[in-house]
Amino acid sequence: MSDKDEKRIQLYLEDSREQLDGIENDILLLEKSESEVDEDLINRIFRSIHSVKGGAGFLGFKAIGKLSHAAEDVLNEIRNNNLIPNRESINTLLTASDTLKSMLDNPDESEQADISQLVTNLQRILRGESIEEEGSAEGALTLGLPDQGDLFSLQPEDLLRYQDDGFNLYLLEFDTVTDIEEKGKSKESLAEELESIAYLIDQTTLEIADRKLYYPLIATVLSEILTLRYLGLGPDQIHILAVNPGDLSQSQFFPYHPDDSLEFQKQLPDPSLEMSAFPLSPSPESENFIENLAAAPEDSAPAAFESSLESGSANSFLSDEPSSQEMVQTQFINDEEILTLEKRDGALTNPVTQASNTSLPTPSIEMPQKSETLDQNPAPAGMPAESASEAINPNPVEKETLPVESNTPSRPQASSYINQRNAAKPGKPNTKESDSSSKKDHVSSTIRVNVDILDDLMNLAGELVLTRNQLNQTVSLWDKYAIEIASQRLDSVTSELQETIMSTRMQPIGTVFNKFQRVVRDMSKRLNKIIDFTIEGEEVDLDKTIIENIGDPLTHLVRNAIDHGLETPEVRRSAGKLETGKLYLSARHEAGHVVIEIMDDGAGIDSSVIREKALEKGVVDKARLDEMSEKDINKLIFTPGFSTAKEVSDISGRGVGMDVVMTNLNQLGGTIDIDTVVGQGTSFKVKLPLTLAIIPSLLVQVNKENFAIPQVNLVELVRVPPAQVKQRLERVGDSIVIRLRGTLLPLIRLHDFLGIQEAVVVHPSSEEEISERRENLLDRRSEEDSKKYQKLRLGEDRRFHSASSVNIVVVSAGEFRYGIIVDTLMDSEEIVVKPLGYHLRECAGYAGATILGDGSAALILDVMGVANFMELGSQESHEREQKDRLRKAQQAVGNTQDVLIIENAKSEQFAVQLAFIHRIERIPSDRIQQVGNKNVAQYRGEALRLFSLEDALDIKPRAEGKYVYLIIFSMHDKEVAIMASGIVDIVGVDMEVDRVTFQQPGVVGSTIILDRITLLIDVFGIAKKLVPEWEQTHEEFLSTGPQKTVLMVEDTPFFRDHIRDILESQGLAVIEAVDGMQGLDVLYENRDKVDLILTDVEMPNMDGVEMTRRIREDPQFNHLKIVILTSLSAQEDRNRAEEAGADEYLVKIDQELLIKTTMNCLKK
Amino acid sequence: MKTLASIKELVLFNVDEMLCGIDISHVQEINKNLDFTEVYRAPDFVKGVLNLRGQIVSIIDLRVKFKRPAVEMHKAMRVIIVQFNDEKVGLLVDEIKDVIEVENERLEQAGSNIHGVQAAFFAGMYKMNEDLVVILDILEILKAHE
Repeated sequence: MSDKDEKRIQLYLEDSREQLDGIENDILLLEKSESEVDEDLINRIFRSIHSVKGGAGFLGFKAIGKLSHAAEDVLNEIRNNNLIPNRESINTLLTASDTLKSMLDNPDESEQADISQLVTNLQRILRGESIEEEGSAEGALTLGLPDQGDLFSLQPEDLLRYQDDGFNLYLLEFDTVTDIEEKGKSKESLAEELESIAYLIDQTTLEIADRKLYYPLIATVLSEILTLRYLGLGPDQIHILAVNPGDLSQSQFFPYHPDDSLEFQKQLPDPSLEMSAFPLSPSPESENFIENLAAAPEDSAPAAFESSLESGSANSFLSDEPSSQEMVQTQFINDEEILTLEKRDGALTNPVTQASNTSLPTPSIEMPQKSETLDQNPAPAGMPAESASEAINPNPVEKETLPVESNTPSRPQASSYINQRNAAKPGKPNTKESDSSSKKDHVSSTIRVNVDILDDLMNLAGELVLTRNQLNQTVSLWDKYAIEIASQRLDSVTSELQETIMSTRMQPIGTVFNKFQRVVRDMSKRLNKIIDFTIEGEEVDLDKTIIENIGDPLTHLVRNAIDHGLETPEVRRSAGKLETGKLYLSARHEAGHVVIEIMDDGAGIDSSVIREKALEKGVVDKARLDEMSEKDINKLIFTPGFSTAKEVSDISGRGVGMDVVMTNLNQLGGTIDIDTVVGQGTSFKVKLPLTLAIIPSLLVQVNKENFAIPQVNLVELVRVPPAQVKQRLERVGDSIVIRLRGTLLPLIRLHDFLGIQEAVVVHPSSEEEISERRENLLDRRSEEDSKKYQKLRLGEDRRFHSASSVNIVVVSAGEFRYGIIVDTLMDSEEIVVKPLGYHLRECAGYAGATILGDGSAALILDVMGVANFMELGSQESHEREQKDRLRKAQQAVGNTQDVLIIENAKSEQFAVQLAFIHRIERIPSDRIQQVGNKNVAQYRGEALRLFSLEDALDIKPRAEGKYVYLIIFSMHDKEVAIMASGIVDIVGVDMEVDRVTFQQPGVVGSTIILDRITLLIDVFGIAKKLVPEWEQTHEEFLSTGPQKTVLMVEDTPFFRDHIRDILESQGLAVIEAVDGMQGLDVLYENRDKVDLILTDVEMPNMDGVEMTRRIREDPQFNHLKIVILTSLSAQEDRNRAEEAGADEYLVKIDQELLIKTTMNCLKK
Repeated sequence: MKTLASIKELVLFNVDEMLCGIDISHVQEINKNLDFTEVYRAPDFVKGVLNLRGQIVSIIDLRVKFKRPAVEMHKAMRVIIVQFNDEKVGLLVDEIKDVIEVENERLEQAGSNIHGVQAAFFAGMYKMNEDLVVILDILEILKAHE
C-alpha cells in the first residue's frame, strides 16, 4: 500500500470515527422524538452514516460498507416517515453504530467481522418485522440446569442487553440448610446480600426439592469472584450461562470454576506472574491491552490470567492435553468484553463466544475449521478485540500453532514492556502514570483546534520572532534601555503564547458528559427506572488530561446515582414523589476551578446506615463516630475499606469503591463533596483545577537545593523563632511535632526524607543571616543571650534548640496534615510539570520535576509520597487523639477562643481575642510620632492613634526595639492600634478566666497560656480608659428613656460576665439565665420587664434555637426581639436561627457590633 | 568491498580506565552541561537530572553501573544523550575519545571470561591498534534496575 493510500485511509478512519462519535446521542434523541421526527436530526444521522458508507465503498472496506448501507436504509425509511423509530430499531441502530466504530478502530480486521445478524436485523426492521422472534417463539427464554430442568425465564432482549453491558448471567445454588440456616442467614438476608453485589433477576427465589434454592443473578465476572469468597459457595453451586448468540434458546449453564480465580488472588502479588506466557497478538493494541492488564491487574487482569495460571504458560495452555478433565475457562474482560472459552474432555463440546457489546451472533461454532473467522468479534471502540479473540481458539488441533507462532514477533517487546512496568511499580501497579497511559488508549491522539486559535498562534509566533530580532539587535548594541523594552515585550508575548497554547489543550467537558446519555438510558431500562436526565454546562472547557481521566470517576458516580440513588417508580410513588426520577449533571466555573455536580432526587444517603456500616467495618471507632457531624459521616463512604465492593475495581466503574473515585479525583488535583438529604436526593460536587500542566507552587530550599511544593497541598507556612523552638517543637518518640493552635502537628525534616546527612539548619555563618535573625527577635536579644544560644547550638540536641528560626511548610496529604521543615522558604511560582524518567519512577516522594527560571531542574515533592515514605500515617492516629482531646476539652469548657499572644515588656505576656483584631502591622520604632501626649503613626495616609498598654494598665513599660507591632482594631468606625514589642503566637484557649486577681479596667482577667500567666486584654476597655470621651454616644441615648432590660441566656460563665459587663456599661439592666430551659422560666417570670433577649446557641438542656422557637410560639412575646449570639458562624446555624424566629444573629466576640445591634433592637 | 551496511560508527569514550564504544546511531547528542540537579533517594547510578531544552533527562553514571570507583566531577566529563524507550537518558562518561568507523565483521564476541551482571552490558569487543574497545549494549544497561 502506498503512502498516499495509507494517508487517505487514515483520513477516512479519523473522519468516520468523528462522524460516529456524535451519532450516538443523535440516535438517542431520535428515540425520544418518537413519531415527531426532527428533520435536521435524522438528516444529520443519515449524513454521518452515509459518509461512512461512501468512504468504505471507495476504499474497499466491504463489511463496513455493507453494515452502514443497511443502517442507512433504515434511517432513510425513518426520514421518509415510513418507519417510526421504536426501542427495537433504536437498539439495533445503536448496536450498528457501536459495531461500525469498533470496525473502524480495527480496519484490518473489519472484513472478518461478522455482521450478518446485524444486517439481517436491520433488514427486518426495514420490512417492519420484529427481530425478537429469533430467541424463542414465545418471546421469553426459559433457562435451567441440565439436571433440574427449566428454572426461570427472561426476555432474550434483556439477556442480550446484560451481555452488552459486560454482565454475565449466573445461577447460584444454595443449600437451605448448610448454606443458609447453618450460617445464620435467612432467605431474605441472603437476597439482600446478593442484591448488594449483583442484580437479582427476580426477587422470587427458585426453591425446589432437595433443600435447594436457586438465585439467578446478573453480575460481572469481577463481582463474581467476590461472590465466591463472600458467600463461600463451592464450585458446583455456581453456574454461568454460556450464551449462544446464534440461538439464545440453546444457551446453557455450566459450572463456574472458582479455584482459578482464587488461585489468582493468591498469586497476584508476584509481579512477574508469567506475563510473557500470555499469548499476544501482533497488533499494536495488544500492547495497550497488556498495559491495561499490567496497570490494573486487580480488575481486568485476574480473569485474563486465570488461563495462564491454570496451565503455567501460554504454550502449555494452548497445547493443553485434551485428556485434562478439568474445564478451562478463560475470560477476558476488558471493560465490556467477555469471551468465554470452554474445553471439556479435550473435545470441544460447546465452545461459546460471548460477543461483546454488539450482541452479534458469531458464526456457528460447531465447525472448528471456521475458528479463524470466529475470532473476529467486533469489539467496542478502543477495545483490543483481536488480542482477546486470538487467544480464543476453539479448535483444539490448531491450538499449538496458531496464536503462539503468529504472535511470536511481538512478544518479546510487549513482554519486556510489562516487565518494565511491573519492575517500575512493584506492588503498586495502579498508579497515576499507568492509569493515564492506559487511559490514553481510549482517546484519540489527534486534537481539533479552532482555526482562530491557530491564527492567533501564528501571529504570536510572528511576534516572537520579531521580538527575538529586536532583542538580538539591542543586545549587540548593548542598549540597556532598549533591552529592557524588548524583554518586557518578550514577557508579554510568551505569556500570551502560553495562554493560547494552553487553550488548544482545553476541551469541552461535553465530550465526556454526552456518553452518559447512553449509560443512563441503558441502565434505567435495565433497572426499570424512569429517569429524566439533564446535562448542563457541556461547553465548560477543561484540560485534555483531565478530560481523559475524569470519565471513570464520573461514570461511577452517575451509575451510583442511578443504581443506589434513584428509586424505582413504585417506590417513588409510595414515597409521594413523581415516578420520573431526576438526574442532573452539570459543569460550571467557580473561582478558577471547574465544579462538576451530579445530583439526583432519589433516596439520599441515610447517615445512620453509613454509621452502622462504618462501625461494622471498623473504619472508625464509636467514640469518634459519635462526635462526627452527619456530613462527616456521609463522607466516610470515601474511606478505603468502606465499600463492600472494595476488592473489585473495574475500569468502567462497576463495583468500584468510592475510595477509588476519591483517589482518582485526588490524582487529578480534584476534591469531592457530598450533600444528601434522606428521601430527597444526593448531590456530589467534584471540584477540579482547570489544568494540570502548569501549577502554582511554593519553592523551598534545603541544603541550597530547590524543591517545589504544589500549592494545592499547602495549608500554611509557620516560622518558629529561635526563642520558641524549644518551647514549641517537641519530640514524641522518634518523631518531631509542633504545637500549633492546640493541635500537635507531626513534622518531618526534608533533610531526613532526602537522606542528607550533614544537615545545616540555616547555619548562621554569614552576617546577613544573623541580622535577619535579629530582626525576627526584635533585637531584644542581648550579647549574653547570644552566647547562650551559641551554647545551645553546640549542645547535643541542637536540632531543637536551633539558633535560627525553623521554617515549616504545613501541607495536607488527603485528610491528613503534617509539616515539612525546610531551610528556606522561597518564592511562589507557576511551574511547568515535567515527568521524571524511567530510572526515577521507583523513587517515591517526587511528583515530577520542573525547570526554574535559571534553567536548572528542580524536583516537585509529592507530599503524599513523602508522608508515606516517612511513615507518617501512623501518626495520624496520634493526631486524631490530639484532636479528640481538644474537642472534648472544648466541649467540657463550652468554648475556646483564638487569642493572639503578645509581649510588651520582656517576659510579660498578654492575650488579645483574635476576633477583635483587624490586622497586625510591624513598623520601625522611629515612625512613631508624638503629637501632644498622644502617640500616632502615619499609616495609609492617615494618622493612626496608638495606645501603649503601660499607659492603661499597671505594668512594665514596653521593651524598646527597632520595630513595634501594631495590633489594629476598630473603634467607632475608626482604626486604632495597641503597641506591642513582640508577637508570640496564636493559640486556642479555653475561657476559664480568673477575673479577680488582676482586676483592673482594660483587663478581662488572667489565664495561663503557654505556661505563663497571661493577661487577657479588653482592647475596648483600654481605649475607653485612655480616651474616655469616645464612649459618649450610646449612653446619651439611654439616659433619655427608662432603663431597658435584657434577658441574657448563656451557659459559659466567662461570656455571661463579659457580656453583662458590656451591657451594663451601656446602662442596661441584665437578667441572666444559664440555659434555654431556665431562660424560658425567667422570661415568664419577668414577662413585663424584658425588652430584649440575647441568647447563646449551644447550651445544655435546651439550646438557644429551641428556646427561640418556643418563645415565638407564644403570641404575647411577638414584640420581643431575640438576638442569637454564638461563637459559631456557620451558615447552617444562621439559617436554623432565622427559621426559629430570631431577629439577629451575631458572632459573640464582636463587642462593637454587639453594642450596636443591641441598641438598634431596643430603639425599634 | 565495503558496503555501507557493513560499517558501523562507534563513539569511543572512557569510563574509568575502560575504553568503551557505542553505536553512534543510538546517540542523540553529546552534552557538556554538568550542572545536574541531584535526586535524593534515587538509585545510586542516577547521578541526577538535567534540563535538556525543556526536557528532564535522568543522568546515569556509567562508573557506578560498571562498579568502578567514583571520582570528583571534572571538566572533561561528558553526557551522552541516548534515546531509550520514549525518553532521553544521559550517560555520564569520563571523557569522549573519538568517533571511529569499524567493519562489522571485525567486531568480536565479548570474552567468555566476563561474567556476572555486567556481562549483559557488553555487546562485543573491538580490537583497535593497541587498545581494546568494549562495545556496550545500551538498552541492557539502561534496562537493568538494580
